[in-house]
Amino acid sequence: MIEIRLWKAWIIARKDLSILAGRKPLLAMTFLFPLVLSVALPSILLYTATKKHASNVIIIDLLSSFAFFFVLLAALLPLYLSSYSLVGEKTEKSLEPLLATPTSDSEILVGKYLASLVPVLLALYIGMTLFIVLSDLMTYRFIGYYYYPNQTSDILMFLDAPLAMLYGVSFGTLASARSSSVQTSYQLGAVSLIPFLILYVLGEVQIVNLADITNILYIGAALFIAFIVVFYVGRKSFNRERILTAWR
Amino acid sequence: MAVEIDVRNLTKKFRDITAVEDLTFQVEQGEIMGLLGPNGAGKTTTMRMLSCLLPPSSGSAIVSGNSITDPNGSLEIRKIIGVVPDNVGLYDSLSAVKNLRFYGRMYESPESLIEANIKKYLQLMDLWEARDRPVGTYSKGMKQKVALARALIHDPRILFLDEPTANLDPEATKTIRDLIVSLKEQDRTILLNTHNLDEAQRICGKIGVLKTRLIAVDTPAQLEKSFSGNKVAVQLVEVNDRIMEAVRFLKLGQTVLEGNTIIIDLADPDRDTPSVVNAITAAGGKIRSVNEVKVSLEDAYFKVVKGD
Repeated sequence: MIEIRLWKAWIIARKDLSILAGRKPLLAMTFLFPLVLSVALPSILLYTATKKHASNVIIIDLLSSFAFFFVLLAALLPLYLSSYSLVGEKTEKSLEPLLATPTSDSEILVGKYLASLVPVLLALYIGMTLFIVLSDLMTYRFIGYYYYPNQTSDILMFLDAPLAMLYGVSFGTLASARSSSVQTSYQLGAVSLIPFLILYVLGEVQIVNLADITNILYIGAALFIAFIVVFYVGRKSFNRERILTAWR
Repeated sequence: MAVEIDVRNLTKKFRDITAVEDLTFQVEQGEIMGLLGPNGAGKTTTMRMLSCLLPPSSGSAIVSGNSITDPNGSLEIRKIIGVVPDNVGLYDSLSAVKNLRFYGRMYESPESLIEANIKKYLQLMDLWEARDRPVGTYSKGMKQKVALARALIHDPRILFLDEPTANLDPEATKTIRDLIVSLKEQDRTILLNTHNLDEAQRICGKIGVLKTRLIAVDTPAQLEKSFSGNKVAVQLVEVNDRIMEAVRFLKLGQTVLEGNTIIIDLADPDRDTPSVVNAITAAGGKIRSVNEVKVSLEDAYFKVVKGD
């Protein structure tokens, strides 16, 4: 049984957030990405509805599939932050004094997770809220009702997206534990996005219905299992002896 | 004095490489023990095992009553030790104050103690004015001082210092050495890894010479003495065969002639030196001086480590 003192993990997360606050480009990218998407996607909807004279069915199809982009983003964004967080500790050689404190490896790992999750959570929910509001405003006059929020978007927003974030942050941490540079960590971490891209393509070719509640609950369950597996592997990689002797 | 660090047959192997073998030594409360040895001798590995960063392959160590191999004991040990690793490992983008505050909290110290110690140590190390600057802008010496302040932030009873004065200018070295000596006066136990023989001699009460195994452990004075081999040098105005024969007749130990100086290995210089002097004068020798041959700690170290 792993005992984790969250207050201890939070001290590490606060320190990491304080360091992150100084890395303006990284922070800007974290917030800019969802914001751009939250404006771009409703604009595409508006363009499709007005210029292409698309039917309500197509608009609704687009609305449901666009929401899935935010799940993908939820997995993507923490990759950058978690890579910086752990590779940063490696390059500054600051893990040894940290490991010498009365703190468990799991607490350090959870602290790293929290530091990546907090800004992503904030950026993602701001972006999603803006996307929902803009999408509703832009499509109301074509479909006659506000599409969002609905059960599907609620599950995507409050179940799948947070789970995708946990999956992304644990994958990013694992990737950075096995990399010596941020670039390598990104490349390794990008592997974690392949299942989402496959799912999106399957949704587009209508093999998987991404608006179906059962399907998105299954996706949530799969993300949860994937997170547990990656956390466990990450926990094994985050081993004192390995860190001090093999991490360079 | 109570034994604060008790190491018994400690061994660390990394696959088929033995980094540390069969180490046994004790450090008493309030003592500074230096670990001397060449690169790769196992000094850092020893320190990492004692500070519960690496598990030993075999053997045991008790630090302040807690075993390093027991998970609960290791947590207790990490609460009462302060560590300065060979790389300072500070967060470059954070100020000295933020670095120290973070570690104070990680050591679960009360906020009042953290703030008091930040002020105390940054002032003591002449870093108070630069306290809010990012540590990345500091010189190497300044960073080393912050690393030492970090190790002291929670008032630990035991300190593990790995090359704390490496690559520092003489002024910074002196500040840190003075601080280490003042910590000993506060009854703190210190294990110090160093390459610097002069430093070890100046501040350590006991020195262990390490080369994977512990080759010798003693006070600096005793180490010098044990390797000087109790030699006595008798300088004469002139040396001839008769004098040499008279000295050799005493059968006290190896006798070597270097110029007009006879160097003799004596089992007990206090007892045997008068006999040597009598024998030389009886053989007609005129003595200029009689001196004990001193071997420096450096000579002793090279003798032990390289088998010179």
